[in-house]
Amino acid sequence: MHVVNMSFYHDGEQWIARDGDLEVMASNLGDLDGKLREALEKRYTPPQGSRLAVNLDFDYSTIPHWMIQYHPYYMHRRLEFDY
Amino acid sequence: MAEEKKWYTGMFSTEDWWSFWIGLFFVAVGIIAAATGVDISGWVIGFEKWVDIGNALQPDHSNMMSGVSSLIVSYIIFTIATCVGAYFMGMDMKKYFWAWTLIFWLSAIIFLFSRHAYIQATSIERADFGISWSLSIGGAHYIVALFVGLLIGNLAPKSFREFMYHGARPEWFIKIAIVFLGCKLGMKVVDSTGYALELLLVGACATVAAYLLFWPLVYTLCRKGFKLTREWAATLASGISICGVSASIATGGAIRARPIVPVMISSLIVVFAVVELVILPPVLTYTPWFNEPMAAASSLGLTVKTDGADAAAGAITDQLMRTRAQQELGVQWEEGWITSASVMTKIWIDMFIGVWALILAMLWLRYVEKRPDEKVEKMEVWWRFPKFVLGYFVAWIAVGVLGLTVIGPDAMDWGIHPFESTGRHLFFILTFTSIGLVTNFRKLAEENMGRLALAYGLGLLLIIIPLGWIIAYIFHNGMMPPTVG
Repeated sequence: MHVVNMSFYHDGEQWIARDGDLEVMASNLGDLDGKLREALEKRYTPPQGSRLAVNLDFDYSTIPHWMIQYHPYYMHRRLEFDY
Repeated sequence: MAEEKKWYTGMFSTEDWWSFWIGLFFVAVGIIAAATGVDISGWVIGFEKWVDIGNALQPDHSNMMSGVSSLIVSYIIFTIATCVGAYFMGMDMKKYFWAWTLIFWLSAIIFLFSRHAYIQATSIERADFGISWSLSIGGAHYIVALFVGLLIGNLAPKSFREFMYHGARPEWFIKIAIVFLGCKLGMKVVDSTGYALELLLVGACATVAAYLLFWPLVYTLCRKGFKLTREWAATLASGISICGVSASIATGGAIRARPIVPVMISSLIVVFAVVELVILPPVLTYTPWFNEPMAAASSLGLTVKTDGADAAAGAITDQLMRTRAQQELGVQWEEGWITSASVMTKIWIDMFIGVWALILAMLWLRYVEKRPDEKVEKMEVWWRFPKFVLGYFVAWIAVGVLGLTVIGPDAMDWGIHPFESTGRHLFFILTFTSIGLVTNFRKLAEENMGRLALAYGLGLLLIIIPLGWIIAYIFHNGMMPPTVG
């Protein structure tokens, strides 16, 4: 199974997932996941019947600095897309 | 490319882990001193009650050096230790160093002058100091440090406040102090009383009871009473019911909330925790709760919602209650046990946050959001586990086992006391000053805060505090702090 590691954050209006030059954004996570599936399909052209996993690590530097001492991270999402 | 999250991710880059490393480093120094008899731990500065300022500063091992030298050595060593942590955490080193330095010396000056015998001596101690009256305010240094911090944090120019945030790390400082506190329970194991274990078990029971009751009641209040959306209600319910800011972040993450949700709720939690920190210790001390000191302290762990404010409230209650017991009952309770009871329930609450976040994430993704592509990783439990708690238990077990076997109780007490007691008090006062510095009451005036603040305040007053008191009483009633000697 191919694994892609990306970071993501919320800019106040949209969720944005990013890895290098690949950037996908949507107003809710359901839409983000759908767009991500399409973008990764274009980039990696996964074979029929294969599975592609995406680790989405929230960019914790976008949380106010004073809060970070209370908890080590915000969220980590793992998506598994079947093609 | 972003890196995959591993089990050891953050081991050298988070404050939680650095409270583990720094706390255990000094515990190890204390144990080595105990084992070898070489005095490498006695330099830690202690602030004594005084009428002659020449007696105000004393190193923990009083013959080791002068008080002033001990203060300077303590500053240098603790500065190096925290700067190493700050460096690995990627902080702005120059700003951290100067802000820490200001906080350290400000706290030291407050500690020094607030320990004057006219302020803190009990009625029994007055004759020793040759004075006829005193205010007998145990813990005055903590209260003064908090208010000085609040004054700076709310009234100083914005640029100065923001500069001070670089060194004001109440959660980091209190977690180091809590690792030191683990040694105290280790020493109790050495005394073979079984008291520490009893405290551990009843703390766990009280915590489970609180989890099961607090969260659903507050969630229902927010949904039905205040018509908050699920996103806001779940995050607020966790913040007020479980462990404050860390719970609101963990829950926000678990239910995939927008970051603004835990950010706004966390601002509320910090402000309310300081209000509780000021009000609850005298309320508990000067009401019938005084007859149940350990239950009263345990209730703080259930009701004060940040680690720093809870331990700080426990420390003030410890001082106030011991002063009252000495004056009115003629009994001298051992220092630190009331604080330990308040911290113990909080530690259990902290430990379960990962399990709670995992359960919530599984339920949310399966039944609320219904996103089949997304998997919940069991590693959430570890990633969200408070690592300083490991330090607390390692310190407890190491001091207990080694004190019972190869080192012996007297040698262990000599070696570890500088950190278990004196160093812990130093980090407590650093916490108080820092809590004041980072608590900004202006947050309450921000847009859309009114309804949230009302929901939070009512949840606290109607559900958390009354139930917390009942649960603490049920599990801790009859437990009394050990007496000196």
